[in-house]
Amino acid sequence: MGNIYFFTTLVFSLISRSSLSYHEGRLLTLIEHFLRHWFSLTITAVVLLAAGLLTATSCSSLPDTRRFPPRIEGAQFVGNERCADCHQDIVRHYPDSVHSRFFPEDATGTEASGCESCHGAGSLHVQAPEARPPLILNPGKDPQACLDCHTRQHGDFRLPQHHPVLEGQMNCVDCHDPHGREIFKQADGLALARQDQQCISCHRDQSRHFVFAHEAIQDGCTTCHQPHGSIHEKLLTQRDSHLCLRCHAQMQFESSALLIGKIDHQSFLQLGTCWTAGCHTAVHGSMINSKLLY
Amino acid sequence: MDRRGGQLARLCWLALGLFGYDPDRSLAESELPAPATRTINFRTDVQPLLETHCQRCHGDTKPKSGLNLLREDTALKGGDYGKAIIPGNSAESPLIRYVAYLEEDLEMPPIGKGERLTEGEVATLRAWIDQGPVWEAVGEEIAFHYEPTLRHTWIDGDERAFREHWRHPAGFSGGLSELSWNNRWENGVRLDLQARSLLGAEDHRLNLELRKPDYGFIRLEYEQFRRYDTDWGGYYPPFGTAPPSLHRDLHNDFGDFRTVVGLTLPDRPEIELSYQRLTRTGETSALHWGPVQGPTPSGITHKGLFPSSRAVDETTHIVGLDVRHDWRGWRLDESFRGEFTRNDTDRRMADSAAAGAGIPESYTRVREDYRQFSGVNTFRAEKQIRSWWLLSGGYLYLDQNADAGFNLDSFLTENPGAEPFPGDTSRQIILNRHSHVFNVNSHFVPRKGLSLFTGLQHDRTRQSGEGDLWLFGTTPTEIGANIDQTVTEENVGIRYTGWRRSVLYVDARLRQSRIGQREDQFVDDDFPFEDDFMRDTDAELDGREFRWGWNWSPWQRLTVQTRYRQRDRRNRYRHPRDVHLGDFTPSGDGYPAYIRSRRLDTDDFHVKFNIRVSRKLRATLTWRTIADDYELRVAPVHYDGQLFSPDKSHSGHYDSNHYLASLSGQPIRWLRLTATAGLNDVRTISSVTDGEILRPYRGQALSFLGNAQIQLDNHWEWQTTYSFSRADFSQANTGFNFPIGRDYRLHGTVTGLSRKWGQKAAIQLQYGHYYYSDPGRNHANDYTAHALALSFRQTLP
Repeated sequence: MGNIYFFTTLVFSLISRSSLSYHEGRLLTLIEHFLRHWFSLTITAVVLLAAGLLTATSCSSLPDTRRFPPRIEGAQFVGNERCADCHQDIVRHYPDSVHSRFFPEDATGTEASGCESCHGAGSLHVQAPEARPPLILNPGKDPQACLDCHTRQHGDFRLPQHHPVLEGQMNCVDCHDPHGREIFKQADGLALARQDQQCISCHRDQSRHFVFAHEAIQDGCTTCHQPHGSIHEKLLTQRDSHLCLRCHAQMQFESSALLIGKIDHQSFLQLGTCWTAGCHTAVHGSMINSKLLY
Repeated sequence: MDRRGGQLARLCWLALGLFGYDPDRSLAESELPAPATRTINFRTDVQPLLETHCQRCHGDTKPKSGLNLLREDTALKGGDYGKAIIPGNSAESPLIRYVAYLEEDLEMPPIGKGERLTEGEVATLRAWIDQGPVWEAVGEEIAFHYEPTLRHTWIDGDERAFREHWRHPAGFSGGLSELSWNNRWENGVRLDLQARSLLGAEDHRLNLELRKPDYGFIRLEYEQFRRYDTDWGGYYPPFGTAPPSLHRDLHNDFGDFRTVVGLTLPDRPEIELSYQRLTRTGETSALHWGPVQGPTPSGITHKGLFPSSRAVDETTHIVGLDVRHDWRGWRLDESFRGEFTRNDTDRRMADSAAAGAGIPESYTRVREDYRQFSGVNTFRAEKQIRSWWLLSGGYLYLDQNADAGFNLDSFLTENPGAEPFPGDTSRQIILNRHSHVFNVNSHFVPRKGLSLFTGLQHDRTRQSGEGDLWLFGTTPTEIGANIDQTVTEENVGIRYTGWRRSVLYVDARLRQSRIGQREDQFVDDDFPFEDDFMRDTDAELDGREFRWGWNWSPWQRLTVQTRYRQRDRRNRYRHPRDVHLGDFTPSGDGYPAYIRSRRLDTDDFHVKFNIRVSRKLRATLTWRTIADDYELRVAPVHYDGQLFSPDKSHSGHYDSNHYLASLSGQPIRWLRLTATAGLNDVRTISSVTDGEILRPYRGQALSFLGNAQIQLDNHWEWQTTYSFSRADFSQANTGFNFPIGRDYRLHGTVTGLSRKWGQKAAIQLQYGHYYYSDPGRNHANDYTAHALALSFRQTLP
């Protein structure tokens, strides 16, 4: 396969993309990208094929393998309809939520059908809804129910830079709404979220109003930051000038001049990143300088 | 029956009625089970019945139809359908007719939502009503739980890095890691208290709520925690010196106090009045690293390495009013927030420093003060119009007014008492922002297994900022900027579950944004000044995001989750005015005024396999790949006496591949385990092809997280958690470029033994070992730490 990748790379490098239309160039990029990851694709295809073959020969008696619900000692599963008796406000929005996409109505076994998949078996809670501590799991207090499925985020929270979720100083529902149409908290029910509202509620310093705002704010905080955890300081997605150059105009000439904003930035880039080199230090916006120097 | 017969019958019924005979009641009573003849005891005979069949809907919490059967006063008062119990007369008590299924559409428990009462149970209820009825008050309930903890941490190496990573200080810390007290009195009033207080770690929390059913509540919440920062700068190997440090203890203290008073009267709007105070004080690291000068084999060079810090003192007061009401099938929510924010910052950046020097030669200091009042009002309405149609809509209005001050100066560290060199200063900057947001959404279920969602949101925001500016503290200047922005978003989604054990979904979200922007700056005189400019920009930002996915369980042991997301963003810019009035900078050179368009395309594919290895063991395999392409078009550029007219500029490509495998479950009775391993492979290449200026950013991050719980016997349990992460984004080139790479290994192990005494008490001893190695900073941040923790947990009574 290594030869195929080498050959493909060679062919692509020989094709001048500037001569292609936009859609042709884009298709070429996609093909190149997928060929680079032939191993993953092969594994995917094999597992899918095996799954398809097994479908033709199996009969189901076990619950669907969607997740293992949290254990509630001594409790039995009661099903979604029983939850709807009291939690109608949540249940009527739930079919639109991101999480509903994982649970079909005909899933075998009530534990694979929705509410109790995350909150645990509910029979004890139904009998004593006001018991303290509650006889059901509340992921708002304990993120483990979320992290059982969201394993990537669980790993992110153990990176050197992270939001303090595992330390108990935050929890998933501070930012996310697991039942609503939008996964972001500030939307309610069916409403759409205003961009970055869940970040602004805490990070007021960065989200204040500036005379000269950084245009990247329009694209959202996650343009530059990884919210759950990062290997870089300030939860940045990247730690060099590539972070800025993805959006900012640049032209490189044979004379080795690198123009950004019609100014040669070559020597500046060699000092450090756009913001750490002591130049564009007002990364979120500036009160007095349109080039975000201070 | 002929007409005469009918009249005769009516006369007979009328005569019987005069003697108190009700034909319907007689008919119904004949269908009711006879009352039990024994003496009924509420505690043993009735309370179990109510708890099993009635309490779920007609208990203390949001009783349906306003009927609470658990307490004498509320049960005898009745609910929305009038009285349910007529003391001494079970035959006429509607409650008995409901539970005997004699009232159509009012069968209790509702058909399909609970088991119907047996004839014997109805007979018991009848006898209870006929004999009184008598309630015995629910006794006082108390639950108390506490967990004291003591911990000591030894750190060998960089203590600041340890604190930043694990958010825990060196030395002793301890207190109550958990305290809860739940009390419910006989009259239904409930007190819930939860607290945590760890001295040394500066982690404190208190939640207190006092609630009376059908009346209201008072809630107090307080939280305080500390976030630590390192104070290290960058590392440049050719200088041959350690990374510079501020040698200061950088941390921020976050505080949050909130109190809420709520009214929850039946059939009245729910009202909540709240006050919140958010604080943030302390000093944090900033990534604005100042230049350090040092010798290299190629001569003296400068690199941005010296760390900087930023002090923040921020307080926000928030007053809130929330009203919620159900009116004619509409759910109405009204919410107001009034916020006053005070934010003072002091940022210090090194101007120049010598390699290996402990302090820089000079600093630049930026001080800002900011005061803002913000009023936000949100109204939302929602109604289930038909069984297949849910409609909701809302309106948000935001009004923000702020004023700010700015002061920049620099000073020599060798003579701190000297007058600082003045820089740009502004005494008054006025900022305003107004937003109107409309939103309407619908959810349709046209047939079983198919749901359709549509949403439309329109957001209009106008903001302005203007103020005076004294360049270098002496030259008066005016600055100003306006932004007028409209954003319209459309959202459509379909979810289909009609195919066996699968969910298919398709989402589309479109976003159109139009921005009109003005920026200008004038020196307050009659002559053009080099800093004077006027710039107008019109921008059209169009975004499209499509997402489809399929979650399928083809076999009971396997679920496959696939998702593909495509996102396009097109930004186009027009520049009606771009004028520089100075002599040195020609007009049209405003930045980013010469950008004509910008495009970002993202492809994101995700597949996940959930495999049930055995009944109690599950494995998952995940692969996610993301590819971003960035493209820019710019206007012709004059440089070095030539005109360059680039047709297209491909500015960069980013891709990442994330592989994840996990195993979780209870393979044998005494062992529970979870293990997750992940690998993230990231690459960014920009159009800067000269590796001496900027190296391609690429590398891998590997992580592992595992937990094992071993039940040694009924009392003893051993638990171990291990986490590991490693990143290798090191940049090999140190010739000209400053390598901002990342290369580290982080290990954390916590293992502990616990002894339980039933569910009531437990004691736990834990040992933690932490190791960090960072060759990317010449091991200046390395540490090895050990921690020992002892905790005891008891639940009363």
